[in-house]
Amino acid sequence: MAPGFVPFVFTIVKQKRHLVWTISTRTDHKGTGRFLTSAFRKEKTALLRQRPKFPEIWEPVSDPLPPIKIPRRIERSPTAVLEALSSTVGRDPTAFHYKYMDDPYFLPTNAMSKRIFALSKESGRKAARFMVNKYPDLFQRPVSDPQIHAFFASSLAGYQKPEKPTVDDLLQRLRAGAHTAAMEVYRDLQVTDPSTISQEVRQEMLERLCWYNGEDAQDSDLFEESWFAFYLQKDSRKRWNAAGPAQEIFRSMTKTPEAYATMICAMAKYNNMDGAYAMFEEMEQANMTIPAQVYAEMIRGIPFLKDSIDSRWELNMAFLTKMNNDGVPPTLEVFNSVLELLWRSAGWKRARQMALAVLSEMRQLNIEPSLASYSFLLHIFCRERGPLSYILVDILGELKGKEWKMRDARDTLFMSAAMEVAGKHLQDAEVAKKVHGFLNEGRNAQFLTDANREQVYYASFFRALIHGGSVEEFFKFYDELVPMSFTPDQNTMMDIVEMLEFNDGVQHLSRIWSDAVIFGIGMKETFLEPFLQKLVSNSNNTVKSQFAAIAEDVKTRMDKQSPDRRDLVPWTGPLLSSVILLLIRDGKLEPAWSVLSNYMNNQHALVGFPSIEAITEVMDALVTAKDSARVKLCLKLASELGFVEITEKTEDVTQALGLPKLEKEQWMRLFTSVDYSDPFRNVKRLEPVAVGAV
Amino acid sequence: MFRSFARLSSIDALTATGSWNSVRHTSPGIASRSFHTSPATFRVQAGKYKPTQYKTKALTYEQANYPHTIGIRKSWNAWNTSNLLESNTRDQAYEQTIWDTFIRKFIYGTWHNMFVSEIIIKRRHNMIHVAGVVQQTVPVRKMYFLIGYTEEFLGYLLKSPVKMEIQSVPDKKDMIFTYI
Repeated sequence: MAPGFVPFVFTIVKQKRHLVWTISTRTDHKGTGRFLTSAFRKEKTALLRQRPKFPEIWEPVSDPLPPIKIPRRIERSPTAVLEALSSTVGRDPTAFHYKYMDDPYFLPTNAMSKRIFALSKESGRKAARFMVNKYPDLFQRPVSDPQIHAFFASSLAGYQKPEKPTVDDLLQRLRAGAHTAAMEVYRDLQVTDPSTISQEVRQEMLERLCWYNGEDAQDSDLFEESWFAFYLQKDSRKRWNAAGPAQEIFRSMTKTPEAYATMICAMAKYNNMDGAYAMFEEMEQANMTIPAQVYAEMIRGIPFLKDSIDSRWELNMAFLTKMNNDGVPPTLEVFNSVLELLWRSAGWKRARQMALAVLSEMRQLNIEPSLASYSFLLHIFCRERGPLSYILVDILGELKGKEWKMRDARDTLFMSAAMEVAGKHLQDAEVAKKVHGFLNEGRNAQFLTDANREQVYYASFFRALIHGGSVEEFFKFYDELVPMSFTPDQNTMMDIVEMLEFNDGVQHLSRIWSDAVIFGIGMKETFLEPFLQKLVSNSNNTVKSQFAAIAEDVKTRMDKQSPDRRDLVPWTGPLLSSVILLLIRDGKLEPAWSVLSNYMNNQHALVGFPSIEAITEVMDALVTAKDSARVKLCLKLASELGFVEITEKTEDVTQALGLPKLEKEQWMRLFTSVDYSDPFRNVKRLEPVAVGAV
Repeated sequence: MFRSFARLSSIDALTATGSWNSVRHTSPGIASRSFHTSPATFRVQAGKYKPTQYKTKALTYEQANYPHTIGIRKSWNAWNTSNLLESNTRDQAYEQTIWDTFIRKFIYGTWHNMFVSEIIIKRRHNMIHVAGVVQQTVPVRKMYFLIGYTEEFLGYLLKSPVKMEIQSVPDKKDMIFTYI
């Protein structure tokens, strides 16, 4: 187009007999030319060729349509829609667990209540099952249609010994978890007709008995006990039942590699590494191909076999080379076991280097590291007394966006390990928040598997937030997580108080106090004394009324305590002083006086005494209120306690109170060593000099 | 007018006496069921509480409203689908009612003096929800024991999951609606 060209306007004008295109170069629609000269026509065609072309109107479709491919039908489960809907709703951290009844009286407010309520509910369940077991005939009606085996009384009842035992009886009892009953049937069958029990049945028996160490399986839906079982964490004594049914079965069957593998893994699980190693050597001598899982368990149990780090690594390398020579490909469990061994070989100089080497080998073999591998890495790199390592940030980058499933039993260690690193090792709020974000992604919350891990996770999280973030940020998470997901313990509460002190957030302290009381931390000496002292030292005009309210609350609670409580909080000296000071500073004279007089009346029973500050401030307030009787009592107390600074002020006090001369003299006599009736009181007395001294 | 309907199952209708109030057996050993027809006795007295002279009897809201206000000011205590089409093959009304009564008696006996309202039983899908208001007489952990026990026990009995939904009230007096 020529410069300065004015875009022309197409107008269609209906002429007398036919429609005519006219092209007008005017921008106002005036004067549509009626007749087209040929030159103009030429110009028209030229211009038409150059007009802007709108592809959807003018251009024909050049490519044909691509062929329609109908995708394969995806098989959906019956609950697929429900699962999709539930994935849109994240965790609600402010909601209590559904096992608790939704009523204020029934909701647990502190960690102890959560545990007690859940366990009492389960104990009620067990009591009901006991009753059902005792009177199974009474539970047969109403009959359920369709039959629901979970609710049959007979599913709880023990198994009777059948007269003519068959393999089916054996399998029925075995698969229901009644292992002792199964063993009875087995022993009968072994005596009468051992050939009916095939190798597969024996192998199945062996596997089940090994898993449970010969004991009966507990009801799998009574899981509260294991949720709260902290004591099972570090049970490292040998629990393998060497004379048990598993051994019996093993002796009676042909020794296949699967059988050996089962026995070795079971022995490793129940901390009998010597037995496992013996079996391993037997397998070696018999030249069997040893499966990878056995290697994983053996490597994992090396710390029980060898003590020094070098010998442990030597044994580990021996296992790995053997595995390599036999052509057994390593699995994820093997690698995780090596990493676990590196973790347990604390303080080894080459641990980090080896860990990274393991990781790179895993990548070479296209085995995706699981959460367990990452947790061991964290433990190796971020040791307590080691140098700071920000490997967690790299790991979180790797983890983001992928869907995580349990691929190794030790994956459950990751979440608490990660947060511990963020909270204790790095003490970095940003990293901690990233870890928390990872927890809230998808279904990753399933990796917090029991109460202990949850507690560690959230305690570390709060520790990180306390050290790192601002007060607003902290309270955002506090509001969300407390008290449903996490109840802080005493140390965390004190840390929170300190954080508020340093970050100028003292107005939140009254809220912290009420929360502490609800959690059962507030009325404990070890918390109360330092807390009130902090209140006293941080008191200023804006918050003094809040603090006075807290002090009054403390006072009412202290008075309300029944004297035969086990954990009675006594009125100690610092406690008295703090309460009195907080009340006085807000001008609450009566309550402060009642605390002080309570002390005066019970002096013999209480240990400790109020501080000079407290008594002074009370006295000053009383003097302004011109309450002479009480002032006298204060002075009496001060003189008894030997607070000379107070008794020295007796003269000024009497002056301020405007006492008559006689009373003034009486007070001075009582409370000071100065005798006002003595005219020579201001004369300095000479000290007696020893005779003969120079 | 009521005289003629006094005796239901007596064989000797002709020997009916002229008395208003009672019906006599004509011969021993014959069972007869009958009802009173005098104005003082022939009336609806179910679910109604007799007023006291000095208004000392406390009633909850549910007790204060007469049964004919069910659906208006009150609602039912038992919810199920036993009156729908084809439920005579499955959710039998009589069976569910009997088990409802059992549930009420069982809970009344297990929770000693704790329930201060009627027990509401709702059957939803395969679940049985038992609801009610409880007074806070007993420490919470003991209540949880009872909750677990009741849910499990009734579950094994009725072969369907039972969930308790209870609310609590500090004192029985909080449930009082009027004095009558």
